[in-house]
Amino acid sequence: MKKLLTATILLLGLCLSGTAVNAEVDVENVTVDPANPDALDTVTFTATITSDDDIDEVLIKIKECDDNMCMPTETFEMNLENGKYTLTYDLTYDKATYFEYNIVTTVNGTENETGFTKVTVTPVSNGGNGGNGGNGGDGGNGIPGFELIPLFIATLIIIFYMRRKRSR
Amino acid sequence: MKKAFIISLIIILSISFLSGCLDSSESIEGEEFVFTNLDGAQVSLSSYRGKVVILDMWATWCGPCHAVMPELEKIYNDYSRDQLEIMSVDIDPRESVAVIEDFIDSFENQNNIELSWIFGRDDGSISEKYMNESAIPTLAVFDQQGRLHYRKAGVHVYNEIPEGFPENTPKLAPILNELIS
Repeated sequence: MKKLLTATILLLGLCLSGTAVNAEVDVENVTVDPANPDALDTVTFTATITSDDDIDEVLIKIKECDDNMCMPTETFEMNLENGKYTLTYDLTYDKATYFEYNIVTTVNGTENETGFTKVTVTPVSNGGNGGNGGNGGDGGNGIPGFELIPLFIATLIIIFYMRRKRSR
Repeated sequence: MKKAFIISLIIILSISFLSGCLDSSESIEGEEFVFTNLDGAQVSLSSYRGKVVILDMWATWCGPCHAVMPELEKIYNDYSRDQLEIMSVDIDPRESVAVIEDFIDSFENQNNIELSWIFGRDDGSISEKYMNESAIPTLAVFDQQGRLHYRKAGVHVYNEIPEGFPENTPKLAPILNELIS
């Protein structure tokens, strides 16, 4: 009986400590303004975030896509203003047809991540699906005219040599 | 004066010739990149000399990247491992091995396909070097010598454009046929 009581107390303690570490985070009333933006618009994200413990950091991850490609995810820290976390962001992809965002709240070093929310965007250009953009080059070193350096050095050597010859 | 001109000409030709030699030796060497596969082992492009390598830069959250996966599967099944290898490298540093493995499992179940080629994570070096349009998916094709033969961002198909894809979606088949006879 004594053993059972000890085990129960231990289990209860473990459960309570687990609850204390994983503090609950509520992310509510998340809004995007304007709700139906155009590509390259400035959008403002606002969220009410509460937790039993102090919130260390609130990040928002944003990714802009069309049917053909996505820009890599951008991550920003949201600022606490008048009890709400906000971020103003300039959309960057002119052909974007949608963007997705989610909010990552860190409490006691533990990250709590919301699911992604999709927002439809009207693309700025309506000329197709992103173009073909060429084949992206041949893997060169990207320094045009690099091969002219030896020629330049050779010219300098000649000038030096001829001047020396004349001075004799 | 004539002697000086001849000596100058020899110097110019020698330097140009030497610089040409240096350039060609660089291109014979081919490209190199390294990433960690899902088992934690290092994978390098130079270990695959003699094979065509498709480098697929992607992330699990990228919808258009998902559209490329079934096309890559067709390519993977159509060529032997002596001819071609595919490397899908996740360029998002926040995506862990567990996230990628979960994605592969659910994608395979949903689409009834097998993503059995090499998957891994980029430490930032591959995306920095090869994502020239800063977008995913970006596909790069390296020839048997490791030279970058093709690179482009966006959805690609193998040889036929599936329903729902734009008519001008780039095809990988002509590029691979050119490299693998």
